[in-house]
Amino acid sequence: MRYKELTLLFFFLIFFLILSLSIGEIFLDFKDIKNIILGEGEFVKENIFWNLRLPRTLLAFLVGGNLAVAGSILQSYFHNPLAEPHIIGISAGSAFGATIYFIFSGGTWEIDPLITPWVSLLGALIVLFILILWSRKSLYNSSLILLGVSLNAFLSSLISFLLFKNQKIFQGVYFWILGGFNGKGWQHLKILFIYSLISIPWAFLWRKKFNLLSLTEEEAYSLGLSIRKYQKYFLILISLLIAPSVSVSGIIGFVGLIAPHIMRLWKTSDFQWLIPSSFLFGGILLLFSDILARILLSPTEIPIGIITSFLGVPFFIFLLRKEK
Amino acid sequence: MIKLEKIKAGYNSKIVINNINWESPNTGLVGILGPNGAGKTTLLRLLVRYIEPWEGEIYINGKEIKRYRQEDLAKNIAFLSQKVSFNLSFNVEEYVSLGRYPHHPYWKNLSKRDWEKINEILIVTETINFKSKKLFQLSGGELQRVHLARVLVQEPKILLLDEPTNNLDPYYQIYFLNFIKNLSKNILIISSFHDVNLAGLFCDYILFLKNGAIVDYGKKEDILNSSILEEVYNLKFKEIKTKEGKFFLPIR
Repeated sequence: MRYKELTLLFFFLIFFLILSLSIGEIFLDFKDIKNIILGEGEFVKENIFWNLRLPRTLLAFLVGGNLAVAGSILQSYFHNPLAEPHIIGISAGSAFGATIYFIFSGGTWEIDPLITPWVSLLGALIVLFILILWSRKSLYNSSLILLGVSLNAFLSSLISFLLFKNQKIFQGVYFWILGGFNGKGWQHLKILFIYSLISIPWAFLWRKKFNLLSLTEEEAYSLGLSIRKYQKYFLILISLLIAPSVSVSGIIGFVGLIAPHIMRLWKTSDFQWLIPSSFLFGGILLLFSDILARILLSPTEIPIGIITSFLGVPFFIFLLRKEK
Repeated sequence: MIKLEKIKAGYNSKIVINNINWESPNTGLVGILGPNGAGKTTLLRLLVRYIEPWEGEIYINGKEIKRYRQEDLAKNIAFLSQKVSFNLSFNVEEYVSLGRYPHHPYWKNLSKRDWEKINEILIVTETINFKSKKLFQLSGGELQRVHLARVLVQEPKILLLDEPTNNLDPYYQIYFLNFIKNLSKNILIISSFHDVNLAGLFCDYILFLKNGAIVDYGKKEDILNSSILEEVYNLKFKEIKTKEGKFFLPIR
C-alpha cells in the first residue's frame, strides 16, 4: 500500500474541505469556523455552516468518491479506458428511473430516502445489463462507447419527453438532473452515506478481483476468478456506486473518468492503490468543481455538471487520441 | 493428472472439440500440434474452465473439474494464454504478484511468504532487474518472461501454454523452451505449437489434433514422422536426420 501518497491526497482533501466550508455568499474564515465548532459563533454563520455548508461539502466529496471508484471499476470491467458512468449511459439510466418515480409520486421532486435510490438502481442495472450483453457479442472495444453514447442520448431524450409531458415537475427535475449540490442537506447526505457504507468497503475488499478483471477473461479464469459466477455481483456493486449518487445530486459526468486516470498515470493501475486513491481524488475533484460552481458567476450558481463537463471533455479527447 | 472422457465442446452452436478421450502423463512436456482451428486453444480453455464442455467429463487429479472451486483449480493449473493483456500500467512486480491470487484470501494483502515466492520467481526468470518497470516499457522477450513469472508464482502442478514461442526471436524461443523443459521434470506442461521442429526438439509427448479430434498421441520418438505430419497438415514434409534429431521441412 502506498501510504505516503494516500496521506498526501488526504491533506489535499482536508484543504479543499476547509476551502469549501469557507467559500460562499457569506465567507467564513478560520476564526469563524473555529468559533462555530466551539459553539460560540454568530447565529447566522452558525446556521449557514451546520445546515448548508457542512452537508453540502461532505455530499460533494462523497459523490465524487463514489463516481470515481465506479469509473475505475467500469474501465477495468469493460477493458475500456473511456468507460465512465455518464459517458456509457449508466447515470442516464439512474436518472431515468428516478424521473419516472418523480412523475408517479405526484409531482414532487423531493428525493424519497427509501424509494428514489431503488428506482435509480433499477435504471442503472438495466443499462449495465444491455451494455454487458453487447460487449459479449461485439469484438470491437470502441463499439461499447458508441452504444453507451446512444443509450445516453436515448434516455436523455426520454427524460426530456417525460418532463415535457409533465410541466408541473419540469423545473425541479430539470435542475436536479443538471447536477448540483445547491440546497442539498443532511437528508441527502444520510442516504448517500448509508449506501456508501456498503459500496465503498465492498469495492475495496474486492480490489484484487478488479485487478484480474482488467486482464483478458481467459487469464482471469486461469488465476481463479470465475467471471460467470461474479458477473451479477459486479453489476450490483457498480449500480450501488452510481445510482444513489445520481439520485441525490443528478448527473455529474467525467469525475469517473478523470480521477482514476490521473491516479493510474501517477502510480499504477493496481486496484490496491486505485480504489482508495480514486475515492479521495474523485472527492477532491468534485469539491474543487463545486467551489468553482459557487464562485464563477457568484451570486448565481452554475450547475456542477456543466463544470465537470468543461473539465472532462478535453480530458476525454486527450484519452481518445492516446488510444489511437 | 488430467483425464478427458468423451469431451465435446465449442462456442455458441459451433462444435470445436468432438469426442476426445485422453489421459495425460504425470510430468513431462506434452506438445499439441495441429492446423489452425483444430481445437488446440479450446482444449486448453476447457482445462481452466473458461469454457465448459457440452458433454463428457474432465478429471483433474481424479476429481471432476466442475467440483473444484475456481480458486482451487487455479492452485493446480496455470495458463499462459496467447492473448495476453500488456497495455496496463502495472509494473512487473505488481503484475507477477497477481499470480498469488488463488493462494491468498482475496481481501487481505499478500503475506511475507507470498512476496518471498514472488521474489524467488523473479530471480529464476531473470526479471528481477526490471521489476519496477511498467509492462508497456518491456521488449517482447522480457514481456514473455514476465508472463511466465506470473504463471509460475501460481505454483501450478499443471502448466498450460498456448503457442508460447510466437513473437519471440530464435534466441528467446530456445531460451524459453529450455526453461520450460527443465520445469517439466517436476510438473506437467502442456503446450500448443505451430512450429513442428521446436516441438520435436523439446517435447516428450506429442498430441496431434485435427478437426477437434485426436489423430494420434504418444512419445515423440514413436509417433513424430513425416507421414503423420502429412495427414495432420495436408502437406508433404521432408524428413532430415541430424545428430541433434529429426527435422521436418514442408515442401511445396
